[in-house]
Amino acid sequence: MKDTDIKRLLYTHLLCIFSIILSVFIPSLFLENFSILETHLTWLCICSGFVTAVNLVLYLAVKPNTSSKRSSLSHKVTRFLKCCIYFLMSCFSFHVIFVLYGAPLIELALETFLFAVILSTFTTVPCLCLLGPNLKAWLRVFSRNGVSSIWENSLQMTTISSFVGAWLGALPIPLDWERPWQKEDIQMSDAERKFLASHPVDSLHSSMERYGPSPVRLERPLATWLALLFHHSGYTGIESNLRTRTINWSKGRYFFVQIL
Amino acid sequence: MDSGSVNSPAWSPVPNFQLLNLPSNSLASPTLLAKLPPRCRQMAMEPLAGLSGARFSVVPGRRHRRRRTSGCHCRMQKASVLLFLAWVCFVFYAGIALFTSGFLLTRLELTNYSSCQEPPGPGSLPWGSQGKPGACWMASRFSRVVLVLVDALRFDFAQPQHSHVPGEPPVSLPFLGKLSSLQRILEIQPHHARLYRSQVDPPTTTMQRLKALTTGSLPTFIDAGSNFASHAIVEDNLIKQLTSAGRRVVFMGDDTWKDLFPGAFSKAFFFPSFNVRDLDTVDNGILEQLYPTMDSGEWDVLIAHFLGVDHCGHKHGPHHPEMAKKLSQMDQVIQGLVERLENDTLLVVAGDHGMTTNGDHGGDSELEVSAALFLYSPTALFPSTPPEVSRFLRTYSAATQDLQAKELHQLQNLFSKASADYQWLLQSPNGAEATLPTVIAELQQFLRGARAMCIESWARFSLVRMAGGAALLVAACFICLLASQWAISPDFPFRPLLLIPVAWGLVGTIAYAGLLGIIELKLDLVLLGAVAAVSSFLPFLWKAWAGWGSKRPLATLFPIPGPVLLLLLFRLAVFFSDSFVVAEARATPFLLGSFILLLVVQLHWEGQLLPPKLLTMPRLGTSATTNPPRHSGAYALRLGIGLLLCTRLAGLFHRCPEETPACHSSPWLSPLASMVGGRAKNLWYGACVAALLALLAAVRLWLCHYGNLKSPEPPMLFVRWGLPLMALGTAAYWALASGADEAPPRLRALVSGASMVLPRAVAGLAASGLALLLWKPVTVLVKAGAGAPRTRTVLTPFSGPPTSQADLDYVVPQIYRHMQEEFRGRLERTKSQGPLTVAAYQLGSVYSAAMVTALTLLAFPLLLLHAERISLVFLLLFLQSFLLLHLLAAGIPITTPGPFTVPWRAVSAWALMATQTFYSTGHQPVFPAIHWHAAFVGFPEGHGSCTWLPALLVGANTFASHLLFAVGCPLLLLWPFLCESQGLRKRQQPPGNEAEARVRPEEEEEPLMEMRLRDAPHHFYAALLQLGLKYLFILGVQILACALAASILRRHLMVWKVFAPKFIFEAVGFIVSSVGLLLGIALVMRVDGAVSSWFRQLFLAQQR
Repeated sequence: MKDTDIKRLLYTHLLCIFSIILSVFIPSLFLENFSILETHLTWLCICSGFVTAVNLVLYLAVKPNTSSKRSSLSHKVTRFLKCCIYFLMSCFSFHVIFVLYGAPLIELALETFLFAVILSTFTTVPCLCLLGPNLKAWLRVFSRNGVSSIWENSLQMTTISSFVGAWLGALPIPLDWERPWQKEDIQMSDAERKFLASHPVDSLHSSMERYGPSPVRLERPLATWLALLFHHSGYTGIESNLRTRTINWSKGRYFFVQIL
Repeated sequence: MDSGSVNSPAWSPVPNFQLLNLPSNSLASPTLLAKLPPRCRQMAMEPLAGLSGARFSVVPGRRHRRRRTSGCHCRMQKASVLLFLAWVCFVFYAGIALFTSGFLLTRLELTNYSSCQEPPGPGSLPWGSQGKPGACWMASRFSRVVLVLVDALRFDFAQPQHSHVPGEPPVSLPFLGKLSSLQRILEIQPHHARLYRSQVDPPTTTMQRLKALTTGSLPTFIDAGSNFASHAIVEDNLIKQLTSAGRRVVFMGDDTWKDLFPGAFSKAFFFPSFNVRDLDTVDNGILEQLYPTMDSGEWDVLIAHFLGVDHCGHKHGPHHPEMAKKLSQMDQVIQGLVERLENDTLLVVAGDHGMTTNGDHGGDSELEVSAALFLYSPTALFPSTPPEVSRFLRTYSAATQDLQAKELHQLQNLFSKASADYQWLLQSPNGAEATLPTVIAELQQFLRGARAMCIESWARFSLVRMAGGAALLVAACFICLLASQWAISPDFPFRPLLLIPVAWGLVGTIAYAGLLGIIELKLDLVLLGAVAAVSSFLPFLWKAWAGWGSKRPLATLFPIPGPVLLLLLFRLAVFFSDSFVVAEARATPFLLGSFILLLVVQLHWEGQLLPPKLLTMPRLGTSATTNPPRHSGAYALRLGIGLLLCTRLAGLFHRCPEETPACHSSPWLSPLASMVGGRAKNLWYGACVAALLALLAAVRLWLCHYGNLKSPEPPMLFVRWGLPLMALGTAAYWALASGADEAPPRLRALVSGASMVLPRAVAGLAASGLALLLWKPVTVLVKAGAGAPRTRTVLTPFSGPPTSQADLDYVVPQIYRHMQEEFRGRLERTKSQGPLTVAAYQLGSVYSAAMVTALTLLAFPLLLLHAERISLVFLLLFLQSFLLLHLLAAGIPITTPGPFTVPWRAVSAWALMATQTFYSTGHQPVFPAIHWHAAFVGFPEGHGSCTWLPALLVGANTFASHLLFAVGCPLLLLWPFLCESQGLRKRQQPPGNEAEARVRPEEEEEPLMEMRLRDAPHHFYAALLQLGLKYLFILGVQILACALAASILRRHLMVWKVFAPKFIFEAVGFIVSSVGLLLGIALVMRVDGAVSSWFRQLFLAQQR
């Protein structure tokens, strides 16, 4: 029983990761000028759509909780409608929370809302799939002793780490890499570049000596680095999702080995 | 409880007398006792609507005698808590002072000016030029000067291409040989040009260098002048002398000059200098203006300050082809100028500093301090004027005690000898040829000596002192951490732990002073303090290790829980980045929001928000949480959302640092007087007054809620009548201040008089209110019992239905004792008329009522110092801290008898909120952002020569949030006890009729609230000590991080613009906060002492 559950968990997580990767590559076949950096809003929409679809399909295929007693059509429809309402409400409440956290109220409202949508897809949609529109069950799962199955455990971990990832995504914002004079790259001489490439430790040392730990001029490379880390992934919680999925995966393997 | 006992009031109906009908032998029966609690709780029911708060009746008894004997001990303990905190603060101060003395290069600016009428030396000048027109001391040799200042023009930039070392193959560096016109002039006209290597003084940052170049003095970071509102130079300087001599000075280039010499130029073209990525804007701007201006001839002195080379160095470094391009451009500029020069004009091309091989500057390495200086003229020879230097030194040493007396004396001797020789030389021209070299040598020696002495005292980082200061700060933080963990354990040796370090500190100080006295060195107060701190810290460490550390594992020293530690670490890491320091105003609300949500989530995670039946799966069953939730989930969520909303709203009052061009400061920070449009102004005025009234009403409502307002004591009378008066005064002052310009002329005098009197009156009222509060801090309502007491119960500090075995174990003996007492009372009553019972209301909130009153009284004068619209922020501040306290109190369990603790998360959130309020009241940790107008509140005419009063006013304005939050810090300890009553009241149904309420079995007894703290005075003081230490730790770690950032990044481009001001603000903020903390804790102690003496008086009155 548990063995099969772990296997299923592993496959669902792999599929989710795969869907996120696909959402990066597939649209470029159909859409022109598609790139994560330039048309990030489109990508956010597509990504959330992919993830929602995969979650739904997995839910229908795997059915982790089979304790639905009534299965009349009207019940299913009301349940589905309820789920939609919950999803929308979570989007709006996330939006409100982002604004309270300091997001601008009017300008960039679309960005903020899409961020709320994608965070909802990573947190609310799995909850809806697994627990249904049942707030009490949600509250139970997200408390200390509330987890009762491995599905709920994975749900708890992925959701919490999505939030943490979204939180971490805000950290590089104050770095002043959006200033006009920071946008162009620092031009290095060829010799310098060769030197830096051949002596990574020395280059680190020299850059530390040159810039200090975090002076003005280091912030551009630091920011690009952090942005690569967070701007798409951390900012939308995927990075951490992936990580948690890996953790879960290894955890699953561990269980697997133990069972064997 | 040793003071008195909970009693049902004497006049209450007696619902509890069924209890007494029990036969005495049945008391021992456990089955019977188990049934008792609900009835028993009825005894102390609340019969009196409207008068909420705990009521206590005081009954003389054995416990009182014990209290009196232990009163002395308590006082000792109180004093030692305060002294311990003061000692820790002292260690921090010593560390800060030591670090500051090594880091900040300070110098006093003198405002003496030399003039042409005053000759530089004794006797007349030999060249006798006073009579000539346009001459001053000496005849001028050139009537016009073109000064081309090329920022960061290193000396070797002016060098030719060929390498100096003959053996090595010639290297082609991009910056060599690009200024070929200089070389050509030097070769073709060797008598008309000179190229010098000028050795500049660090710090090699542009503004400091400009100051040095124009004043001839040494550059330092802080020049404490009389006008510290701007960077403007008040010392004697070249530009000032030139303009006063009637020369037309035209400037173009770096806008730093605008700050330094406001309004000094006859014509000026400023270009922004901040954008170091931009190589060409400034230079092209200058080039557009330079030649037309030169050709127009409307100038005597033309200064052009090019920034391209410097920016190129910052962006690419000197080894980049871009640098060659930039230098070639400069070369063309020079060539163009040389072609246009007329015969009476001198061309000076100078670099203000050099750059390192990476293109940075600011430090004192050889490459940074060597700059090029090129003069083009027929001849060049400069006689020096040392008498000025001597006069300056004399004045300066009189003004401060900085300079070493001994060396100064030597220099004076040297100078008097040289000037005597010089006089002799003047009088006897015969032997001039022979003595001239010796006089010149002597004067040069004098100059060098003077320079060396000034450098020693002004312009060098002392790494040893910086490291020592940082080490002391680390030590102080360590003390805080150690002692805060140790303080709540019962074996904390208060007195020995305090006395021994202090004694050792004194011994160390005296030994050090004696040693200095023996070897006759000057006594340095900073070093003395550091020695005292170190010599008191080491015995403490030794004692702590002997007493505590060896017994327990070191891991318990780091008790900060994970998420809080993470947030704290992130906050500390912020200080090491320039952008994050600049963006701290935005980052702090974000962190605070994270903290708030973390608190809410943690409450949920711990299962304190929801009833346990929701949280456990039915089939798991047994894992029920031990304590039932005290609050509903929606309650905490509401608090959290409300806090976030307040934080966001407070963020609207945001002032931008000057470094972020895209950011716009909130328009609401300006005073109302600067607004145009009467309608909007009136609306805003109305909003401000409404905020004032809301603040007033909130405080009164709060006091009324806990009943303390009903007390007839003078502080409460003051709150009732004095506070509205203060609000009225404030509102009237705002009205006058915002409409002062529109007043009719005949009312002018009245208006100005009122705007002087009103703020002083408000401040005076606040001071008198505080004095009243200190005089009589116990705000309780005492009512003598109407007759003999019919019941007397011992305390039953228990609330809620007993849910566990432990509760029953606690309740059952209470009931037993209660009944025992009851019977004894009956017996006594039969013997004689029992003693008078006194019911005192509001004892349960007596500490926090005093704190809240004090905070309000403090807030009003501080509010007056800010712009009008900041009153909204103050309202938000009170609301925010109120919500935060509630949220924190929801998560802090009340450990009834045991040690009280304030968790780290509470203290961290409090400190974070203080920082957030600092920013939301329109402050920034940079000097230009200081609200200078605060100095003129109540003093519209200025202060005359008095300097400490405006400094105090401006400081109070700047550090208002630090002060308020530090004084209010003890509320963190008190609030959970206050919320005890609230939790109970919440559960009561809407007030129905009283009889019904009395019958209801769930009825709770009055909670003890803050009297629980008084029950265990030892724990109370230990908790206060711990709270103080924790707060000091959080603040101390911040200042430590600032100090480390400033010392590690002392070569950073932004060190004098971002890191050093941040450090200074943090340091002053720390000092203000620590003083506020001590005051707040002292106030709690004072209330405690007053409550004790109040009980004692009551007891004596009863005995009579």
